[in-house]
Amino acid sequence: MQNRFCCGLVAVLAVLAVLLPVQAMAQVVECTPARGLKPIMATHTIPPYPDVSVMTSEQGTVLLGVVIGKDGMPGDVQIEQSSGSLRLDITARDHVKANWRWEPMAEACHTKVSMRFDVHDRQPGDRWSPIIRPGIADYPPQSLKAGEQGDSIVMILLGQDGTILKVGPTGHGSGYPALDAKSEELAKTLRLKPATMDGKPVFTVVTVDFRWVLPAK
Amino acid sequence: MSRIWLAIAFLFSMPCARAAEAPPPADQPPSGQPYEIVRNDVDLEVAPDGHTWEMDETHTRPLNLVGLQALTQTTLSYTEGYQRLQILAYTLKKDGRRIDIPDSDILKGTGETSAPGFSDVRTMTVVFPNLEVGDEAVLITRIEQVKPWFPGVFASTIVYPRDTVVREATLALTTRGDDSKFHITASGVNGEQPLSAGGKTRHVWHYHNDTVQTPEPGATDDIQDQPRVEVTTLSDYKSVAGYFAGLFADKAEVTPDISSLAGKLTAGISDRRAQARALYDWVSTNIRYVDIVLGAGGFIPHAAADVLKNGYGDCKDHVMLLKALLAAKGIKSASVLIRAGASQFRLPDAPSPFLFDHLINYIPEFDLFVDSTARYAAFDALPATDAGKPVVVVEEGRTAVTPPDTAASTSISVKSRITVNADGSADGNADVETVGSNAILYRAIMAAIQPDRENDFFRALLGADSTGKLGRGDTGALTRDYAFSAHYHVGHAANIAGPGAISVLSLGFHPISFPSLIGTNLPVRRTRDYVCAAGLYRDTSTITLPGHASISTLPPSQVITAQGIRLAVTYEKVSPQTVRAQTELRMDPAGPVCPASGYDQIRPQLSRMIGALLAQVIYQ
Repeated sequence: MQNRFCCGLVAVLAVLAVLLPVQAMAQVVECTPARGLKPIMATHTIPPYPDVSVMTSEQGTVLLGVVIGKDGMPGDVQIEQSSGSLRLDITARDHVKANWRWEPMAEACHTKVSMRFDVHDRQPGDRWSPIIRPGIADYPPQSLKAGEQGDSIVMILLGQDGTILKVGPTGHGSGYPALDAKSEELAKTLRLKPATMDGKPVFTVVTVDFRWVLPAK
Repeated sequence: MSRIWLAIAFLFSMPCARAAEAPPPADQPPSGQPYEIVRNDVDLEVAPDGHTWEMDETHTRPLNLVGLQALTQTTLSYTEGYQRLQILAYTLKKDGRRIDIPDSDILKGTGETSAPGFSDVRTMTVVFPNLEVGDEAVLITRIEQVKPWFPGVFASTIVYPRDTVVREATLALTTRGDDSKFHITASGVNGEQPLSAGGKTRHVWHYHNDTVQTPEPGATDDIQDQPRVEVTTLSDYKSVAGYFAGLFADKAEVTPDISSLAGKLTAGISDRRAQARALYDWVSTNIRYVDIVLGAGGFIPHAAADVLKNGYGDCKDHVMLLKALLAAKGIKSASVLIRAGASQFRLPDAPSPFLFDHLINYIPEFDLFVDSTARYAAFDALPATDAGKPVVVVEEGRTAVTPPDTAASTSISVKSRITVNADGSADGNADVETVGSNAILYRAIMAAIQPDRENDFFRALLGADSTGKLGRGDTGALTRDYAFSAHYHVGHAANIAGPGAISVLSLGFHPISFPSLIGTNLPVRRTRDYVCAAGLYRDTSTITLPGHASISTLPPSQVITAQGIRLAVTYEKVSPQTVRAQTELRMDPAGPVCPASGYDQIRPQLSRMIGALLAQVIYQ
């Protein structure tokens, strides 16, 4: 249930290695696990939803063609199929080029990346997410002892009456399970108002950024 | 709205710069960078109907305490009902920590005008917490133009600063629909090839500036000279005029009250120019200036009848009432869009209704521009801030240029008699005659000095133990010339116990600052065109020393000229104790703007002129 909840909200990333024929990059072989294709998952992050795309309700799925060098770095990244929005296409392209990495391989190869933007879902990591700074009393003792800090962004599904129906991770965790779990626990205690449409409350998804910062020593 | 470093020149309204009272240009920032722009990203989408959606993210780093002071607080404004503004701001510390500013800590305010008036401008003020030198102040805004100021019109100019380090700036403009309807001019920036998809076209430009241009005193601020991107849906200034003509169409109707007033004010006056003058004088004197910016009221004037009834109004209201009064006497006039508050002497390439900050009248019958909001301006004199400016004559659908100041149109003439007493004090009289824009300026100055503060005025000018009295004449009379006088005592004018020297223009009250007119801080070189002063300035001073002193040496009389500028200085020994010095500076440049290319040739002469003004009379 939790997975479905997340998948329905998060821009879906999929590596489509063999779905479409390669034309422009005919000399480059297709990447396959057999050829050593192994993503470094921590780098396969989602770009922030562009603000103007949120304001103008742009959404869609972009298909990128990526040439991965022997060093695992993306070389040429092409927009092979537009999402219908140049802004989203370019955001995806630039993000993949700047952030995504793979393990080094024996030879360069070509792969495809699909990235879906759905404006109805609050994008995890959206910088306009409200920020909550838990106090020292909220800190899990083991995290406090270990000096763990970071941002844990949590999704909350609200009913029409404001009831919290579901709380789940977004994939943008702090990197510390204890902090992420505590963030979800705290999220369940929040009192939030659902959004309205035509004056009537509707089911609403919000993301909240729990910012765990230890006091300076 | 050059609001901050990267000025997105949206002028949300026409707040009516009051020419006569407009402050002088701000001093250029001192050399040494107070801050640098680390990053600026603008993502702007525009619909053909004038709706816009914009994200603006700016990271600015204070480099010293001056920069810190400038960046600690930032105020943004918007107009309710027309725009939506969201702000996200935080301080990014040098160590990577991010200190957010909660929405509850963003101060919301109303009104932006400093003049008396009404405004529905809303403000949001961000105070960056814990900002220190080397940190970054990060300001992210979402701005939506939910209701266009002019339906179907979009125009914007993004100007990048040359006097600030900009590490990285990117502007992405997405146009909806037919991209060819957007006229785009870009200069000094690197553009990418536009891309089109899904009925939209995306243009991207990059800018960076690692070499800071030294500010040049008096440099013009024309948009054409700056790195910029201009976008407009208007093809020419005739279109701009057309939009305003529509807004003004029914605002200058001649009602029975207006007709009656016009008749009363011109009773017994048959000369048409004299009639127009009488009507102008009445509006200038009796309609109180009040800044009114409410919604589209920033562009739309009130009806002339309402302005008459209320007895107050802003520049647009002044123009409509004067237009109606003139029409009542069969004198045709037009509304004129002008940018009074800026040192800009060329209309930008991209026509825009948002470029202008003031409205004045033009009377074709007399080929005369008049500004009735300039409280002290005569019918046939424009304030200096209106002079030599490019304008759009709305009802005629054309551009024009207002008459520039010249040596024939504006002047100051001073006759001074100063007697130095044996104790080193001095007593003096000065009779001052001013003409044209200088008359407007000095009327405003004289009217602003409180009668019971005249001694303070002279003490501030002439030093300790000084007193004085002004003969102000009639500051309210709207004549082209204005005369006033000063009678004063200088507490400590000269120490004449033994041989010494005096500089004539440093002794006593001299309202003309010759070095300032010539250019006190002559920069070593100029790369930008600059505003040239114009006018005729004459000071005749007769100085008498006490009986025990005798004048031994006079400076040489001389004439120095430099392309439209002529300085003549003469000294005459009238008696052993009396010297008469005459200083005349005639400044008659070819236009209001002097080219940087000619500066190298004239700088040596200008420097000599300043030296000549410091010449001293030696006495025993």
